[in-house]
Amino acid sequence: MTTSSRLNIGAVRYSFAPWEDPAARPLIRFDGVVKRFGDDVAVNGISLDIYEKEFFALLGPSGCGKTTLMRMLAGFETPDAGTITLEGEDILDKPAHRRPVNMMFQSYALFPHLNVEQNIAFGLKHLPGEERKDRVLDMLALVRLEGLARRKPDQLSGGQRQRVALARAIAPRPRLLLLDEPLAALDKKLRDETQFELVALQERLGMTFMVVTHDQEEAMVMSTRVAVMDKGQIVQVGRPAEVYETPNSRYVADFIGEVNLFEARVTQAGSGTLKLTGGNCPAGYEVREDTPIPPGTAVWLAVRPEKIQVTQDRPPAGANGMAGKVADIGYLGDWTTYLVTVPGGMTVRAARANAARIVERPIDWDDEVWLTFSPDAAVVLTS
Amino acid sequence: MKRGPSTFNIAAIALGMAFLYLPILLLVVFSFNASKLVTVWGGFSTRWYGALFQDQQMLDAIGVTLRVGTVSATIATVLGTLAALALTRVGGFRGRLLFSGMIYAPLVMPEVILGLSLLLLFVAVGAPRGIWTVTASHATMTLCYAAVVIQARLASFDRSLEEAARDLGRTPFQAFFEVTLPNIAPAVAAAWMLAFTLSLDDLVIASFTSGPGSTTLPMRIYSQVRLGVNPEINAVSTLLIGLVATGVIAAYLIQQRQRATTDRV
Repeated sequence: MTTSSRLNIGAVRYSFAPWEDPAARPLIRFDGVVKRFGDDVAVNGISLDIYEKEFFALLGPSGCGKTTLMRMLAGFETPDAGTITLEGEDILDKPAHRRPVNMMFQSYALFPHLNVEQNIAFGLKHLPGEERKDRVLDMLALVRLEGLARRKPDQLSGGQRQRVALARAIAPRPRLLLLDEPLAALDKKLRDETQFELVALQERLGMTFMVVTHDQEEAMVMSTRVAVMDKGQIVQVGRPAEVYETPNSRYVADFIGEVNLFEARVTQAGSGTLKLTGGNCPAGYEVREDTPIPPGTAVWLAVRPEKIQVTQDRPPAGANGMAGKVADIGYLGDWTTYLVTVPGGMTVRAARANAARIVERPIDWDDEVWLTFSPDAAVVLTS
Repeated sequence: MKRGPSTFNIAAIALGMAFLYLPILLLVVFSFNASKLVTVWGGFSTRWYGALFQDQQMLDAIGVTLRVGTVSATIATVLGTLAALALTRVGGFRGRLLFSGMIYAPLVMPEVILGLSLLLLFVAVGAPRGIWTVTASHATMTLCYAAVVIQARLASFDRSLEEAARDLGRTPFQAFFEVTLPNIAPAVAAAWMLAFTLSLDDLVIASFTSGPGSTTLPMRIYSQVRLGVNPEINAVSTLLIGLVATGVIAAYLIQQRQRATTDRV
């Protein structure tokens, strides 16, 4: 997945992009990995490179194979075909306890019979006494649990347990840290804070993280790259902004964020602009697209709700304009979502930031409104 | 709607309890009887307890019973743990159903049949009957009870704990001893208590499989009773009841405490 020259997406750490450097050696390489459970194919031929210091997210609905992929890396499952290498070395013949990979479990899996300190020291058996003590103290300071070293796991809150689990997994300084739904058990507020803390921690430690999640927000906020998975395969890999703004399929567009998919047919192609017709927009569509698509091809136009303008006044005539009627309004505080019924019976989702506190003419239920989007806003999808 | 227990309920409970515990209570009371006649109350005395500790045969029988109980309970607990592990961990191996059925069969097997079959086995292999044959037989009998208790605990044990231990550098073997065993320890202890208690009060299997010099306490009591009940028997029975009750209650309490801690996590 490369970024095309005209698209300048997002404000994410652009300087860090080892996957675009052909000379860079990946830390982890999956090559044609297949895993079956009975008749079910959990992972169906995945090849994937993960680079040093990446914060890599595997995103997908439950049952898409993301957890299986992670467990194969940790050594709890063995692939039926394919190889997994770490720094060029095959790790499949190594048992779980000899892999330089640690995992933070979704259930945290803290040892209930050991206190916080002993839990963190569990993976440091190989260190001499003094060094082990120092490392445990470092870890306690890192996750801000200094005062709770002697507590047992059942005397901790959910957030504290999550931090103990993190400290325990980081303590042996693994080459790669696996995080299985690390924030799923936390409440919303704590989750938001912890997301940023995890990123800060990962950058400070310079460690490679791989996170498995079904929560797209989590994946978008934290990761350097996201792999979207479906039915045991990777559908798209890229920076969060790339995956959001240039999805390569309807599945990805629909899975990450909200999207409106307009069915359309190409009528005219040329010089970076496509003209299309479709039932929902009598005025026709005009979309910027570099890849030439022959006229007559049936495609989908994916347009994000926040890229559709809702107005009460008729815009100047032209492409990408639709008249509609407000069917529903969802007020979210920071955003308002309008569900607008357009010609062809389709319901289009449009979102507007509530930049002003007071609006003179608020849009109301059953109002006649106009929807427009710019030629840049739409992504042409052929699959 | 009428609330609380009715007169009928109270009467039923009282009768039931009396039916269950009156004989035992009577036995305990008469163990403190000063009179030599079992059914005539002659005042309070602990003389029969004193006499008990003078009776070498009785003391030998107590010694045999405690040794058989300790060793057989230990064997049954170790094997029961392994069986429970096989049943909860190794999903769907060939003959799993048969294996679990065979483990639990002794639970419902008549003791006479178990005793007889064990006797036949020992005779067939030419093993001299004695304390070791009783011990082995008790281990066989109590293994299934131990397996049931431990399997119940393992079923609710979070397997990711073991995976976490392996992830942090432990072999599967080390992970079991450092993480699994400490966490299922209360169930293991309860299983041991149960096995020990069952071994203490077994008469039937011991009768079939014991030999000279390996008379257990229940066997001794039974043979003495056939010659006539004396208050010394009451005294030793009271001690046995005390021991068994302690064992059962301890096993129950250990499991309760365990449940309380796992619920909190």
